[in-house]
Amino acid sequence: MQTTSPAPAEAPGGEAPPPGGEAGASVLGRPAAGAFVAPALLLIAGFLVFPALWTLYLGLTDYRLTGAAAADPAFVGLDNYTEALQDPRFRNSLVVTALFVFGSAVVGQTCLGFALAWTLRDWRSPLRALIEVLVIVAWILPGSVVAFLWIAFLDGQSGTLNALLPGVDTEWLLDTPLLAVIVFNIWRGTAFSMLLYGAALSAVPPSHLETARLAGASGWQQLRDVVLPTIRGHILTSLLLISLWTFNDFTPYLLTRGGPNFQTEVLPVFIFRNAISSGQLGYGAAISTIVLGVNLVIALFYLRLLRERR
Amino acid sequence: MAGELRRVLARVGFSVFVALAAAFFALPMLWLVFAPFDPVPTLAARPAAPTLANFRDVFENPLVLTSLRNSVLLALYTMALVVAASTLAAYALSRTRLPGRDLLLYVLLLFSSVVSGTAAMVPLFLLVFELGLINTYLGVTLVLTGGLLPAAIFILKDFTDTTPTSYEESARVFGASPFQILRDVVVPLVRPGMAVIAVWSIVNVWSNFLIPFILLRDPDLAPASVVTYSFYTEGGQADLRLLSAFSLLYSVPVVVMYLFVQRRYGFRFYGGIKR
Amino acid sequence: MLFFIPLLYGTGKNLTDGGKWLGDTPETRAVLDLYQQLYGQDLGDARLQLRADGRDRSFQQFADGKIAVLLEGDYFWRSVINPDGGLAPMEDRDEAVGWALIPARQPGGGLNGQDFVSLSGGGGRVINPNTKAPKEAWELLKFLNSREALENWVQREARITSRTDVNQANLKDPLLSFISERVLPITATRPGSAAYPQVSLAIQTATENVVAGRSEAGEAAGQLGAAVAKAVGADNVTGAS
Repeated sequence: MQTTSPAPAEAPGGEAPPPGGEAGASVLGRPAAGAFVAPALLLIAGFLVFPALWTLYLGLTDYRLTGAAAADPAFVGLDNYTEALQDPRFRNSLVVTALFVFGSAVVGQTCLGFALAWTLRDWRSPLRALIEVLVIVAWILPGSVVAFLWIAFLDGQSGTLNALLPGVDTEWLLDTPLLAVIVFNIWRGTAFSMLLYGAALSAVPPSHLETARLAGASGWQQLRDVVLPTIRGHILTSLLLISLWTFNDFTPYLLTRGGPNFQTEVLPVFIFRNAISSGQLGYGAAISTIVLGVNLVIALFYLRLLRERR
Repeated sequence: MAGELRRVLARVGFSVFVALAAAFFALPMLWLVFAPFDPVPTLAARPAAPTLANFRDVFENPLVLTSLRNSVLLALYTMALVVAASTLAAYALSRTRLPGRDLLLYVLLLFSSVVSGTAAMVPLFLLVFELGLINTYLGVTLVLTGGLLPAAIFILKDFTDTTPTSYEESARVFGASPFQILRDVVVPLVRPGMAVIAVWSIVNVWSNFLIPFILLRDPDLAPASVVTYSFYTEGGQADLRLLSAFSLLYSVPVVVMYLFVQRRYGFRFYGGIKR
Repeated sequence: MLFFIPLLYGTGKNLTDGGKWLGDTPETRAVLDLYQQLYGQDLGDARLQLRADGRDRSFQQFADGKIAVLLEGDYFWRSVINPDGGLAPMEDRDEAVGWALIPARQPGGGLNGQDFVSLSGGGGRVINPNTKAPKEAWELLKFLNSREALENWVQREARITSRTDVNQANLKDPLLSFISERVLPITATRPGSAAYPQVSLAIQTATENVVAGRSEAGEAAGQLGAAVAKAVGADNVTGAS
């Protein structure tokens, strides 16, 4: 999640000193800063970094949940990684995940979230609050509940969707599983983008928009030439976060169990299947490391785009 | 005339879009409105003569109310720890110049994805086991907090980055300690950000199944996310009567909590001083 | 548990044979061929098989009279279509529903030369080898498996127990006593090997490919052989590779 700032030049990782930031170094001396950071750092070191590194180490072994390799795992070096790269199911999972992230996060949640933020921005009406609450509740509801809601919604014979589309009785989860799961995730996660863009839009100086309007620019042109460049940093940060989150989202499993025929087996589901269902924890850990690597590439890509605007 | 037409079309387009969006978000939720009150619920969301029988049956399970209470406790403990630790850290990180600070945050953010995956299950279990914290809320809270902190700091730091330091500097001149400055000057300014982190932590913990599942033994300590699966039969079938009622009970507290925060603090991503 | 396995028993083979796992053999091919015949001739609903909740739906369809033959275990009888509190209760269960033993491919052709076969599973209890109280654990285990304890359980909820004396004295339900008398003597369990989950997945994938019409039986048997070889090593698999 990312916030907006009244100073449009702010963005994480940026060089330009923000109005509050580095200039205030004298306010907080080194010892106090150290003390403040300590609790978080200790927690993160102990309960995040340590287990994460341990997991990465497991990826170099043939550790299993049961059997001989569970009591006595052997170091196998990069074997798990070479196996993964040759595993057609892994490659399938990578493609499915890429489509899932691109379709539901990069395109879906961003466009819908922005569209909602843009159209609702000046609307003073109780209905506006209602819509925002609906969007946010979709995000708040627990995962298992939401899965049920959508299995019911998409059911071929008695689902609400088909009840509204006369003559249609497609089994969406069976015939168009990836599409169904993408639409589901758009429903689930748009709230974050909507809130973020709403805040970002409210920070666009009204004077700029006014100037553009007086110069004859249409709403669309104002959007394109004034608004988007101003909030570009926020768009990119939001994209980065939701891409990472969606990449690691396990919820599709609750709808389709990764099927039919592995068509919706995103990487978190693939890891689960291998680590738990098949008991190959070492292999699953290696996949987790590869996922980490892919996430890193995605993050670097976005950071590059962020820096470019300087 | 063309201008008029354009305005009318714009208004129509606006209404259509808003109506479709509202429908898109509301329709799937219908099941949660109808099924719990349906004596024989199926996967179809259809209204039936409402009954409270499912709720009566659900409450016969002694774990139901306990589990909801447990979810609330776990959510509050984790939220408190996450908000406290992340506020302190975000403030410190944005007021001091540390080389590689941002890079570190990004790396930690990426690591949190490893730890929330199933492959980290065994390391987490063994770690908590060695610390003697299996079957304790402390263990669960610490693990959940560790996973949530990087993103929380990431978000909150943006708030603290954009609050002007003039007030802090004045307070410093008047002899206030760093902690007092944080508490009295900074926190009021970044409160909306803290509210966002609070809600986000609670929502994440509420839904989290894996960590409580592997770290807790006692059924009495299990939160609702784990107890949900006790409404499946030994054959793996969902008992929809109990499950629908429980799903509603499971959903209500977290929605209420969000509405409360929204009312009190406004759940928005505004940072610092508004123009 | 996969229905593939008792069908395989019906061809006279178990999943592991002489220390090796079965891969692409005439027997596995025969089982997959049976699936192909069933679903290729529309005797079974292929799409139901592909759904994540297909099994649950099949229960309801059976209760509604839309499915004539369902290959299931005793759980189905006592917990699903049970008129008294089942998930898909059938009022006329005792009159309308019959049962039969699973026949081998031909008489005497089943596992151990049997005419009929069955697959069983369930829970087990083991003592942790690292326990600090082995004697007490043993006493507890003895008690848990005693007639007294199992009878207490069965009287609250009728089910097949691991003791013949308890079954004979307490199971009044016709199907449960049938199972206790006729099925238990001929049943077998799946191998308790660490590699089983992966083999199970291989079987499920191959079967699903046949049911969905994506592969022919012979092809699927080849896929099964390859997947099992990958899981346990080619040296530990019999059959064509």
